Amino acid sequence: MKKTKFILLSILCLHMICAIMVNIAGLNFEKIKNYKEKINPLGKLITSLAGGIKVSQTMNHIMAFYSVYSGTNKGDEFYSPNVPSSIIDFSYIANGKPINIPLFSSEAKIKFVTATLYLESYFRKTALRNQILKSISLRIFSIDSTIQKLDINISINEVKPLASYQDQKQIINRLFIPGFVITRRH
Amino acid sequence: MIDFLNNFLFQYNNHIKREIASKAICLCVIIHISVLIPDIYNLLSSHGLIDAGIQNSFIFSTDPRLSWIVGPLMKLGVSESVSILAIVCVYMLSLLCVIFGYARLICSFFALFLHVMILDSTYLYGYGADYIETFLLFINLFLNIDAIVNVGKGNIINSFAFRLLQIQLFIIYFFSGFGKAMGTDWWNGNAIWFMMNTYGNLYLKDISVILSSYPFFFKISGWLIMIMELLYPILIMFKKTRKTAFFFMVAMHLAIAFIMKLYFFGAIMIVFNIIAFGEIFKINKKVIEFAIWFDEKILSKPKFEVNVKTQNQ
Repeated sequence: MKKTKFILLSILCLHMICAIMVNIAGLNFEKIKNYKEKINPLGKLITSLAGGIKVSQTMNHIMAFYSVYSGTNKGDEFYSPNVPSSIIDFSYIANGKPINIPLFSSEAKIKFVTATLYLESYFRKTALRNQILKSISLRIFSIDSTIQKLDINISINEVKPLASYQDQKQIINRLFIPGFVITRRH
Repeated sequence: MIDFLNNFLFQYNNHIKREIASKAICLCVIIHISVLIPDIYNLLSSHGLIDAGIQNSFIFSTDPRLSWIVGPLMKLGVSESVSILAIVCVYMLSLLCVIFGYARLICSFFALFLHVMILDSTYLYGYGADYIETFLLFINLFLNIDAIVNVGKGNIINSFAFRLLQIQLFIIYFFSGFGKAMGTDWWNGNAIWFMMNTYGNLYLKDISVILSSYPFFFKISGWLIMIMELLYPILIMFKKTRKTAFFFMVAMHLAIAFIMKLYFFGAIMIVFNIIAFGEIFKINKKVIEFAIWFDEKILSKPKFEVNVKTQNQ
């Protein structure tokens, strides 16, 4: 019994270390660096402290392995420290008509939206962004052979903060960007 | 301290039945993957919407991925789509075997491994629900170890598994609240305002416009969510506040499911809460005693006496 309890206690310690470290790393994530003006003094203190925590290479490997199989490899800071005030919509236009992404279930569509959120965070990394958009276009081209050219447009809907809505009575700022034109290469 | 830890981790018997917890986890995961089957090729294949090469660039080289199985199968002449479908079928079959109690431990292991494999291969599509499912399938391993160990060890491991579930919930909610407390939106009411207007449907946007005349509504809602998440580990441990904390979180996940249309995330979190703290649904001992007394004294007792007399008497 003692051996069993010892093994279980070790698992608990590893689990707590992994979960807490991943969450602390999450607090210092890129999104916080990008939105420094929307972090309060407590947030600034925590981010600077979290940035100073260093873990040895071996411990990092153990944690990475354990966290993948225990589902603790992603932090739990949902919609924090702030909620995104804008949504980026991608629209795909072929032969002058908008086309739908070839997904049937609403759950698959949610997963696709999740992927486009990554696209938003890596929006400035043009190489990766173009790689993803090229991959989506290739799939659309392979499903419908009549499509020769695909226009990907981006619309950014930015919701105004509550205080400025009370003054101006306008919720959303819309910005349309003609994005990318992808053509089929024969 | 050692006695407290021993009792807390290894002597916890007030949890819901192991079988119910394990079956509920597997059923949720089966429903989730079943819903995705029509889109499985678009999501999982190397030529899917976001190809495997891009997905794999986000994960470690040691992380399991579908190409570990699909690659060798393709060399044997099995097409990619058939291989992917076969993997998904084995995954679902493993979950069904756990539900029906056939080779529970091995099937739990397969289910977890294949789940991680599918999730890693679709890294960019993965969101909260998928990672919570990974954790629940990990716990499912512990819940099924009793198939190969004696009753005493089985009880200790079950107790530990339910405590680990609870501890993970503490960590999830605490860090979720802590992260929110670091920003400005959850303090000034903008968070709920943005949520209603970015994720909500037209009705919800109309409601937000009406409520904009009462900005304190947005502030109080934001504070309440932040405070409840931060204090969840404390509130859920005390009997007096346990039910309030539990039902607040269930209500919050229902709102997330319907406002943000994250139905599976909402559902899996509610199931997670029920498995971790299902004890609050257990009927009070006094109610059971009363029911037994009622059954014995009132229901079993004939309401009138029957006097049978034959004609000869």
